[in-house]
Amino acid sequence: MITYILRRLLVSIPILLGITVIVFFVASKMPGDAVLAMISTETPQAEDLIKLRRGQLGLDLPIYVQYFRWLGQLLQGNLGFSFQTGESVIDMLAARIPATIELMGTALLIAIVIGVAMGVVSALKQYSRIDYTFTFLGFAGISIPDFFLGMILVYLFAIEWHFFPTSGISTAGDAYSLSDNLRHLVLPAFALGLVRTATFMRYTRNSVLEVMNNDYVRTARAKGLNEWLVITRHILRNALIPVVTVIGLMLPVLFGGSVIIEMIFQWPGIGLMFIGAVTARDSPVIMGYVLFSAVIVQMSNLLTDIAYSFLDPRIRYD
Amino acid sequence: MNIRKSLIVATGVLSILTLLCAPVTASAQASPGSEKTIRQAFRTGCMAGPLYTTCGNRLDETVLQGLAHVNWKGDGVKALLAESWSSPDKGRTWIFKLRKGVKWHDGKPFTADDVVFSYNTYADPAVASIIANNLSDVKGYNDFRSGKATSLSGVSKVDDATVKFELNGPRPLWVELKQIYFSILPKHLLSEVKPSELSRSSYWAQNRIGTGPYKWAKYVPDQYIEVVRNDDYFLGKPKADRIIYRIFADIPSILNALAANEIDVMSYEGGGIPVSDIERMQKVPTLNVLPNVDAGLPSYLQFNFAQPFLKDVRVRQAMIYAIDREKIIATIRKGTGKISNTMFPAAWAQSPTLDPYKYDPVKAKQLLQDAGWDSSRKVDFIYYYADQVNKDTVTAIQSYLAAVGVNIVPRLLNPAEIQTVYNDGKFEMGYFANGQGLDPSLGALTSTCGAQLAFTYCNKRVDELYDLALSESAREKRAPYYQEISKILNEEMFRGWLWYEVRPMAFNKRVVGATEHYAEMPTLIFNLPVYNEVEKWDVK
Amino acid sequence: MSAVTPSQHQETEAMVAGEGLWVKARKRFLRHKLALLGLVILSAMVLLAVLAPVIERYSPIALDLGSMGQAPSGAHWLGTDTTGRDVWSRIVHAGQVSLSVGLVAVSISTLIGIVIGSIAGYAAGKVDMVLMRFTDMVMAFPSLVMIITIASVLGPSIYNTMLVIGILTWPGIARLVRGQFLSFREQQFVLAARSIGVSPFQIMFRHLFPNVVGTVTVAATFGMANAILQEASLSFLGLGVQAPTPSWGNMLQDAQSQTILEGMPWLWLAPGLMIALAVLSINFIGDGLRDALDPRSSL
Repeated sequence: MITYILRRLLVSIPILLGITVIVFFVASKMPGDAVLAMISTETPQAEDLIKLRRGQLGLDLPIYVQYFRWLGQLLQGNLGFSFQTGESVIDMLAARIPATIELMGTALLIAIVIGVAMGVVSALKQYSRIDYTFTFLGFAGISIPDFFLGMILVYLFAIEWHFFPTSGISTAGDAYSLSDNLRHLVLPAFALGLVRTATFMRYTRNSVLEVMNNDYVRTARAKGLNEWLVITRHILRNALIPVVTVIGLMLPVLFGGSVIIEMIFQWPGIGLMFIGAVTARDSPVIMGYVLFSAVIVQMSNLLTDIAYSFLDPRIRYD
Repeated sequence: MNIRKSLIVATGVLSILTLLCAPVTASAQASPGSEKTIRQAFRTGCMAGPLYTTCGNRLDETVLQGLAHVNWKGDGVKALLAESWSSPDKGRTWIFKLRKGVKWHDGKPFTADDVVFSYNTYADPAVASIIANNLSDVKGYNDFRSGKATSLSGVSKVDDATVKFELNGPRPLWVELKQIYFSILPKHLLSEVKPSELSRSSYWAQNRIGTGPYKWAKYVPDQYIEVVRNDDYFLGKPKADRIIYRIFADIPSILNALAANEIDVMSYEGGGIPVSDIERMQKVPTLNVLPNVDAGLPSYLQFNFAQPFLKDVRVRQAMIYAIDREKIIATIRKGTGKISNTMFPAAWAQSPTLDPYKYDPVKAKQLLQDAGWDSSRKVDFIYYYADQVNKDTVTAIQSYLAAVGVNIVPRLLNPAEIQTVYNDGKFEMGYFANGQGLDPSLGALTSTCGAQLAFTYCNKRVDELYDLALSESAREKRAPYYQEISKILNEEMFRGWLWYEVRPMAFNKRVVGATEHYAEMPTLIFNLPVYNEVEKWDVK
Repeated sequence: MSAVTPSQHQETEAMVAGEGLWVKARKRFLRHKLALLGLVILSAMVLLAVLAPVIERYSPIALDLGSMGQAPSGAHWLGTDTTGRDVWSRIVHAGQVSLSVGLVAVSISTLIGIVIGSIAGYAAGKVDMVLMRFTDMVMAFPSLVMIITIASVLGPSIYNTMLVIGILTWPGIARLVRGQFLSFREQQFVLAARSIGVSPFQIMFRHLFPNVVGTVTVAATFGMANAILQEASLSFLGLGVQAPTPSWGNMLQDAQSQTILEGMPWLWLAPGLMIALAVLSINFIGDGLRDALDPRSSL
């Protein structure tokens, strides 16, 4: 097992390198550059200034030299400095990652709790009206664009009814309080989480149905065990195993979704930072974000595979 | 391994992780609830400080101040760190007497050394400030930029309270038009930083010591900047205790926050209230809305004169005859803004005999026919305002032009691409706007021979008139020159003049001073520090 | 899509000898009520989109500044937008754009996925290793992020939108195909074919491919639903289909303004519902196809 993990980690290094190469070169092909993006649209600028700033940021070097400079810095544990603000990219990421984890974690919890509950009920009452309703709702959930749901939530719950704030992570300038933070969290987390409950629901439903047809469940029932005990002890316990692995599959999707949700709700996470960096052609920040999200996705793939092998002894890695 | 337990543990760990992350996102800081706080919107990406960005002025000007900033009415300058100034030789040399007893927020005295240091920093090629070119009139600027000199020879300290500026020639309006760009930076904090690494200095985000009415307190990335009252401010103790600049990435979120009483003051860099939303904002009881704030911003069809088919003046005129500008203003633009027929928004700079180019599609067709227009041509048409009203405007322009046989193909540019297009000139027409609010002399930057935004348009008489106007300082003497320019630009249809835009703004009624201040501002001034009298704003 | 699914059935029927399998599959599909509902709705939408030039009541791009922002009425069934364009005409034309973006994008990704997946699965060993690491790499890109970056390079347009979505969403299908090929390649009928000298290309195409058609069809159907959503997100960010060409995504951009959200609900309800309906019915069809073609898979 350990050798398997080590081998996977080794393999992921060239993958990550490949990603950085591709993104670096693709990003350098975006029209305009950081210096031109910085210059106001309303002020005509002297050519010497553009040249100076480019020289300062190293944008006048051939693209492969720029890449190796970036890679060199990376090997020294430095992700470079933002072209736009001069801040260190590591500091920028560190300051924003907690906000993104808070949002994504809560959304994931919402998706799991609602999705699993709906899935279990659906399976236990297979082909009932509830089952059809839940299946329909679940599909409706994955069919609504998350940004659209986000806008409707803002409109209803923040603007019309004033239940929650329109945007942000906490009341700006106030002392931190958990309740204030949570009030800000509700809308974006639901916008991000609700549309993803369907996936958990589907997995749970199928898995529960599969388990229910197993002999030991039939035996347990035949022995006259309390129905509730059968459900919790025998069915859920085994049925929820594969659901755990869905979490790993979900992460890359959540990363993409959180970019848009962070934008709509001005949630100060790395997604918002990334969109700003694309607009400003701030490639060190773009690279920092891509590297971070690629590492997380790689790790979650690995963890999913390991979880599989733990939970399903038939699968062996050697 | 007990699977149920591990599931419970996994869920528990996930919840705890999530909650643990919550407090990290905003560090605790005690603040008494009775404080008077003004909450102002601030655009993202404008944090870099006055050396590197011009969109952060509304924040910069409350913390850092210049010798004299533009008065908010735009009718002159307000003495700030300078007490007075004078020129013994009609604007070739300027002597600034500095205000005495001013202290930096950290208690160090402000002196002439700070002024000399600051101007050298702005001009330093290693710093590469984006507003450096406004110093091009100062003696020694070119030598400094090209590396022949190691400092800006035209700026020198006479004594601790006096600074002398020497210019390359007489510039009677230098203080009003050029000096105003520059905020003074603290030498004692920044002189140790290597110029090329100045942009990375922690000074900008953590410790922005200035001389203004508010002191830098805290910057929380992507969330807000907090500044607190400077009791020793030289124009008097500010009335409000602190200002929170809340950072927003887009306009809809700002409007939502205004409507929900989460912020008090609108920012106007990057756009005001879209005119389509004015009505909605007017219905919010907590807001004062100023729907008709003049943005000093002529919107126009940009012609790329390098394209042969646009060189015929009849083609350019026909396009404006073809567009029913009044109808577009009355409908899409909700009655805001006014028709323009030349560049300068200020009435004193406009000729009284401008051709009004009334909507006349028949005449447009005739002119195009006379010019031999080929209606099968597809014209590349760029624009960069992505909000609904401007997109609708482009759609309307497209449809009006199509009706007379001019087929444009709109192409939306990302902000980062605009300068690229300006540089390589790869476009045919566009829908642009360019701020002219401060003074008609700004027009020289875009309409003289060789200017980037003139796109090869060249009229020697126009160049001459701009120079003549700059040699005078009294408005009544400058007016005839600008009026002649306005007439030429009107007749030659240098640009397809559309209208002067408004930038509607809204303020929460709990803030006293902001609404009054902007209501008195005849024209918004962009990309410049303005004396905003923020120390007089109060909270009910 | 309605026209595509049955014809695919017929093609594959011709390929596979056991006719009974497909009859059963069709029966299973027809039993799936939601899938049938989806098929009906989607057919209607495709019909509307195809007939757009006939059933449009005004030009979708002709504006009428005299009648801006009108609520639905007899003259304008779905009202008019902020420049007086007829929303009904725009919706049906947008259907053409959005559905074809979905269809073309998913065709691109399915094609790439099949090619890479079958080569990796058939060749196994080192080739498989290299191709799968490449697949992992593409998978590790958060796709929306990559789409945003690439879309800013290529510039926004319908074709680039199709292309971008297509070239970034193939790894799922590649993995599916490869997995199935790997499990089949050691089976008797393949070994037999190889021993009598059938070329690898023929083995892949004749013997292995028919076995994955079902799985791929199901995956591609869900992929199309996803592609329509991606187009909407891209257009929402201003990186997708460009005005004045209507797409459901860029029509939804209107709803960003609270004034429209509040005062002119017909402007966002219509495209929002069309996206949701299209995606929903495609998902239902996918679910039905899965039950019909791929009964073993749990999802």
